[in-house]
Amino acid sequence: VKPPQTMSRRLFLRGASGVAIALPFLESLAPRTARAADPTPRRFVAFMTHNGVDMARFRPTAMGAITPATLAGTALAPLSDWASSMIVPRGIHTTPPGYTSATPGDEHHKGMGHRLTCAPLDPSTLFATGVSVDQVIAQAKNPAGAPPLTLNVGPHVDGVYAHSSYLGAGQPVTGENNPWLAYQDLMGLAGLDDAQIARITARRESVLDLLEGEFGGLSAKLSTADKAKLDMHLTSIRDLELDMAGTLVPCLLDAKRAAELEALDPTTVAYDENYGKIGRMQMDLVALALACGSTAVATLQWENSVGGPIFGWDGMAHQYSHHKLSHGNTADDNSGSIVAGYLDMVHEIDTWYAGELAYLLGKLAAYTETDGTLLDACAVAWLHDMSDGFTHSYLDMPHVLVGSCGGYLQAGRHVQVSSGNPAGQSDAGHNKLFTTIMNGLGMQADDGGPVTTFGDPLHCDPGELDALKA
Amino acid sequence: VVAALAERPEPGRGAERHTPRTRSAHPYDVVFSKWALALRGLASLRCKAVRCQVSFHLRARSVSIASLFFLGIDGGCYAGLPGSTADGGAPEASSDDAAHDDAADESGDSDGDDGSDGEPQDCDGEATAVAMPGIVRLTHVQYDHSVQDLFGLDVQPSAAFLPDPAVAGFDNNAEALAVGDRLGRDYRRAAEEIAGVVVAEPGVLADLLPCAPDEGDVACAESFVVDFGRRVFRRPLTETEAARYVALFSAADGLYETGTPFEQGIRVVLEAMLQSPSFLWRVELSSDTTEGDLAPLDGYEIATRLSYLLWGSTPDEELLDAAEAGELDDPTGIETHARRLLADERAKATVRDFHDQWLQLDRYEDLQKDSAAFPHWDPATGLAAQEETRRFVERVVFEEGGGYADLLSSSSSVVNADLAAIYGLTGEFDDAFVPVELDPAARAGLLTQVGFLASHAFGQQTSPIHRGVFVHRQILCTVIPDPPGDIDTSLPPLEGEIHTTRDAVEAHTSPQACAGCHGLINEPGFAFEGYDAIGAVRTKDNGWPLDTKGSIQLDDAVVEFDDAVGLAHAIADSEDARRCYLVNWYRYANMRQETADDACTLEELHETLDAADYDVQELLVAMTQTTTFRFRKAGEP
Repeated sequence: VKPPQTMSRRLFLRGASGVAIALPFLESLAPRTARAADPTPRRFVAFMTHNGVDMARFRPTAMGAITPATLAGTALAPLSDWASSMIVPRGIHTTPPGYTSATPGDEHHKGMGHRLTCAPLDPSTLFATGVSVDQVIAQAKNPAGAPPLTLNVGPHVDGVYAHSSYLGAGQPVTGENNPWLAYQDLMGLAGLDDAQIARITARRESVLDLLEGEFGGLSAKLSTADKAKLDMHLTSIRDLELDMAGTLVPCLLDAKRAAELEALDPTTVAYDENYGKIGRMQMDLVALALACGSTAVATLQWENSVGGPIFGWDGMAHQYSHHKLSHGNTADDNSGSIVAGYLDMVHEIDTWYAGELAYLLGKLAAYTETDGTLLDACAVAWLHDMSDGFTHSYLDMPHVLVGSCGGYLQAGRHVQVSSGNPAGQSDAGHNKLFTTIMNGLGMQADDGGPVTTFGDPLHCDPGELDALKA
Repeated sequence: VVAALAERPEPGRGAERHTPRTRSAHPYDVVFSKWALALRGLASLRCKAVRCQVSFHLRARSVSIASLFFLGIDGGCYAGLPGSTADGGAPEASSDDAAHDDAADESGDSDGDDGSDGEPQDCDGEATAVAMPGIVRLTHVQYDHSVQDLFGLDVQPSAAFLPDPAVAGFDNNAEALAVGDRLGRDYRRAAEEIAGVVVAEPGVLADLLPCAPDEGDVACAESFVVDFGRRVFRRPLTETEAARYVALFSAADGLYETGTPFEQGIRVVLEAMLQSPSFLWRVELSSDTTEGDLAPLDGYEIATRLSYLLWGSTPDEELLDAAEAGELDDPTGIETHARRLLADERAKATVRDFHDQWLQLDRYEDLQKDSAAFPHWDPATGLAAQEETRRFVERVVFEEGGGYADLLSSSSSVVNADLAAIYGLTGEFDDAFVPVELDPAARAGLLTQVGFLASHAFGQQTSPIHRGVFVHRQILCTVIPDPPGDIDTSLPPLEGEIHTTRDAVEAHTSPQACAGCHGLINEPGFAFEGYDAIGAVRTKDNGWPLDTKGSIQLDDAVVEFDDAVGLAHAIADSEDARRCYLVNWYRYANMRQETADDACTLEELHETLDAADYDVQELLVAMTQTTTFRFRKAGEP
């Protein structure tokens, strides 16, 4: 993988404010040549849900072509309009593996921590010991090394159960769960006139100049450990100069939608009753961020592993949280009775998430680009923490892909990832899903050839999933 | 085989502010999940066993090394029970344990960062200071209070911040507080918004200014930078610093669309000050160690420690003036100001924040109960119970000048109609909270209040194990390890010979392997069987008579009790319990875990407080008199 594009961040800001601004903010610094060569950049979205699924009714009812008929009655039925854009791969297991492996953590820990990193967990913190694929993609593909969009729906929780994205070993990134805050980052200075941009840029630069003086003065008096802490702080505010401003079009929602985001009460964004509403706002932002070119990669994490919510909307009137239902027990200690019909409830939840994914796909497809829609340029991956929630299985993961990633993937198929094995047999680590997607995005290995590896080499065989490719 | 499963742990402390009211995550999930800790292997159990010895005051209360070793070898209390493996050979991860860090921390064991490494040690020498970081970030609560006090604005900017990390049960651990991820962005956003409000809201800026701007903009701005900068930085600005801000002010015209040049200048100055490391970090650089390895903190550093300890907020002008005048250079002066601060309304916030965290009052929120069994319970009842406990503590500490024993034994409380019904009080009640006297034969202090009892129970049934674990871990500082992960935590059903919850717990924990822990846990838990799952008094369980008798080891003696009231009074009189309360305060007040070097300080504090009936206000004053409060130790923590 190529090292991230480097650029003096200071220069970046000065460039933005120093030129006679006749272009949208930052356009002067956008990698124009890349754009010219790649008029429709390809993108990756991870849509992540938890606690496994009801495997018996999740996937298309037949292998081969996916059609509304093969989706009927399954959890994926709400995606019928996208049948020809979907790939349902069979025979992918999470790696490092689950309970057969001696690597640290329980199944939920592993399901979360391994999912985007393909790296084992640290035995003491249980955080993953590797960088996540969204960060790797962002470094390679985003303008000026801008970070990936990292969004959550639901509460902020400490620990590995609540984190998907990792800057590196032991460095989880907490997804933003407040759409208004996420939007402000995304919007940057879009929509402002040149004079406004110049003012904001000038005052932030003035403030930062002063602060850098203060940080420097203080740092000189500190011990090594304190200095490191202060350096981390200064680095994080320098990074603010890299607001995720758009490079293609302004990152702006329509005014009505923006007002709805602004009206959110920050203290209630994590409430169950707002789950669906916040989720859709976050999906609007995912689509916007990809469309406006502020990032080539976004992750949307719904709740947390071992989490809720209690689904009490859209025809569901559950009394127990998603995780409880995944084990079908009324009591928190599993000492109660089996919840009658719990699998039906899990199936309702699976189906609901499929409907939300359909909403996201609709948003992506609504953006038209040079070579088709934004969705055509995407690989959207619905990724789970486990397959069967009751048994915490990591085998035959029920991942779903949508979009051909600019034609790299052959969509519309329910396909075994490797021939010669009966359907459902686990035979490929999910790291290969990511190498395939990274190549779909046009990334390269250090030698200039295709990407062949991702994740911890001890647990990740090299190669792609050829069966997914066009 | 039904998989042994813990239910979802609740979010970490900071996140709990955002916890939806409609969640199913019952507060006892937290406790439960701790019982279902991930299987972390013999090594971690051994590690805990070693840690058990570290703190002088805890040593007597620890599970013996031998029993822990046995647990580790044998797979723990639950080894060998049906269901400990499940699902066709797939060992069921019974360890849904996002709270594992928290759990471990509560057992006095955090992952090597609690500073309590070292040999077991009693006080042997003099009280000394323990090294602290030279910079400690404001907690979000401290940030909010500081902004409120600096500007007189009723705002809570941290509602939109990434939450503070919780360590060892408290969210103010100096080592753990950092600025990473998106917090720098959060600070910038808050600074820009606050500065905008200050200049836009009529009167707010005028109240801050030491002068009228028409006296000459720059001169007025200079005096503002010097005066207000001293408030924000909690010390006078250096000339260089002041000059930077004045220069920023002077170059500000045109940086904003609106406002006079003066207002624009003030606005950008405030944006910068609120992002300054001198505001966001509590900085302690005193390093004059001419007398040994201890450097006395300067007056401003003392003022900052005092106000953040006693108010959770920034020093007021009077305290800064006292610092400037050298009044805080000796213990007497510090005591004078400590008492002044304690007399202020703001001190209540700190006392409340400590007890909220120590007693884990957030568990009282979002409490759901079985609606058939408890038709009048709704989540608002849990919030009322939380309010009751807060008001009870405040009344004991500030109105009655009470001490630790009162917290654990007083039969007075403050209730509304919901709670009065549960307590069986007759009379007219409504939504308002009013002081009441409860039946002293039925109620004694915090542990017999609705909140604790209801939050340490299931939806229908009580949970003696959760109640017993809380008593040990939170009240007595007993180090009880989490059990291994591969356990079945299901209690047997109430049928056959098993009549009551007590029977079920005894049967479930009867294997020899359980005895090491459950020999400690169960009986104090059974004491509370006289209260149902919402904390109302009951006389029968499942139609069978109750047995609330038991014994507990306190102060190296076995104390028998008849019921929870008896247990509570025994605890109220116990030195172990007083020391545990002190140690919790000590962690909170010093923003760190205690170490072996704190042994003498703790011993001296304990003696001082025993002589003062463990009066809580005296406890706070005493904290400000210690060497570790007044001095910096050379070297890194």
